[in-house]
Amino acid sequence: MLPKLSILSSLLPITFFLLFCYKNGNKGLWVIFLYSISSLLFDLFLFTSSWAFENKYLVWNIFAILEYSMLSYFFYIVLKSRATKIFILIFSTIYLILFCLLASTSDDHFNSILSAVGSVIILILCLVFFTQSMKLTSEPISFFSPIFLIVVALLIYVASTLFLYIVASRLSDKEMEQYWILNHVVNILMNVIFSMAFISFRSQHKNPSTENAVDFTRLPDDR
Amino acid sequence: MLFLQALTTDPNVSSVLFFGTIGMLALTIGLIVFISFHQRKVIRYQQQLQQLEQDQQKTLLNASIRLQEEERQRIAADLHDDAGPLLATARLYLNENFVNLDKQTQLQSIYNAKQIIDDTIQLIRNISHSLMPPTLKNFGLESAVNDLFQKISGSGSMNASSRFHDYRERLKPENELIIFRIIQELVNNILKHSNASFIHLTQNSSGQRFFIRLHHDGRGLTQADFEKLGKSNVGLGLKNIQSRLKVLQGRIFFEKDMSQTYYKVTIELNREEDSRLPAGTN
Repeated sequence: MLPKLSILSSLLPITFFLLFCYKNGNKGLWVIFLYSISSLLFDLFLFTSSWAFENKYLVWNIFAILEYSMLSYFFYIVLKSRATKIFILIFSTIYLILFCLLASTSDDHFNSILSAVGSVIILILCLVFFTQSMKLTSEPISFFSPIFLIVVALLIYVASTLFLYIVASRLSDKEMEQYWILNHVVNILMNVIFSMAFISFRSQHKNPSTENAVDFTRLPDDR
Repeated sequence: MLFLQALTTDPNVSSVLFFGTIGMLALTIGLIVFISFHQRKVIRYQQQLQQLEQDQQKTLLNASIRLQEEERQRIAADLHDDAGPLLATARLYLNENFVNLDKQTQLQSIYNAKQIIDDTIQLIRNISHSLMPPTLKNFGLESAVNDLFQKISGSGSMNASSRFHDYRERLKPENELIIFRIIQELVNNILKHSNASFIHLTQNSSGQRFFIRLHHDGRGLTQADFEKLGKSNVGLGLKNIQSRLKVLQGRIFFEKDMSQTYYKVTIELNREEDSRLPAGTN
């Protein structure tokens, strides 16, 4: 039941994006929309295809590369500092090259180290986002700004699943199934927060005057 | 990496997973709560700043309106009390011509009427000059200030002198008028309140910065006094100075000389701002 719910939960942000942000959503929101679609497609593929189920580690690795690329691109758009953008470019390139090289040797088991390192990088980027946002004392971020909510969702997801990814390679298939519940729960939570972000985007566009703080969905690149 | 490998080799996997995840979640929630409180604090602080700024703007606007009203009243009083009676008298003399047909008397009353009309012209000219000094318009700030100081010195009430060291490049005429008004206001204050025996004005430039400094030996203001008066309901003239400086994006400093004998007032402007300001900002 929970795995099915987790897969279907991706439909929530997809629906809300199409309803509220399709016309004037910016790059950051589009990246999260595409991430939700790819997540749904991969999960459905794993759930319905027997070949995918037999080669689930390979499918996971492919999804991990895609997931990391999208999330790092999201932060590349959202973070304004030039140094951080360079950091993202360098680390992502190194990480993705290493992942592609090492993932081919681990088709039969979950690659804990690569997944955990990816999670740590995303975790660091979330923290960098918050630090940079707090530095802007003249422009406080709104707690209901879509980008803020998305970063909160990613932070919760990455922080909650980090240790699961670390120990996943040591788990048997049965244990994996047992502990993977955590991943499902956090995935549902993340999708709910993504949906909230898309709804808040809509409410901000409806009543721009009620927005007290800076709208972080309006990024300089998008103007 | 070694840390991660060490964790994965731990036999008690479930406890690592449990405590690790709980710890990470606790840290995440703590971080989000901290950010939320921090943001609230920042927003509250900014709202206070905005409120202060609005209050300040309101005070300046009120001061400016009051000043404008006072100026209108003064002009109205000048016209009503001086020009009105003069013109009425001239009319009476001219009316004489209809009553008294004696040529000599008629000539005398026309002459008297002419004298009164001349006085009225002079009076209106004075009013007009007080609105826009012709020296300032025709010859610039330096000449207008020198003229003003010569008049003060000539009255014998105070020794006044001015010197422009570096004013080859004139400011925009509308900005010159604003500065002239500020100087007038400061000089008026010194004449009214300081009991000084001399005022000395110097002008100087340093790069793009333009300075005007007034020295006097009477009772003066310090920066703290100026800021205090700027926030209170009194000190209309000082508020007027503030609002005029805001237009020029200039600054003013009130201080006591190192020797504790003189008071100094320094007006500082940026010439770049002068060239950026649109015409007719006054």
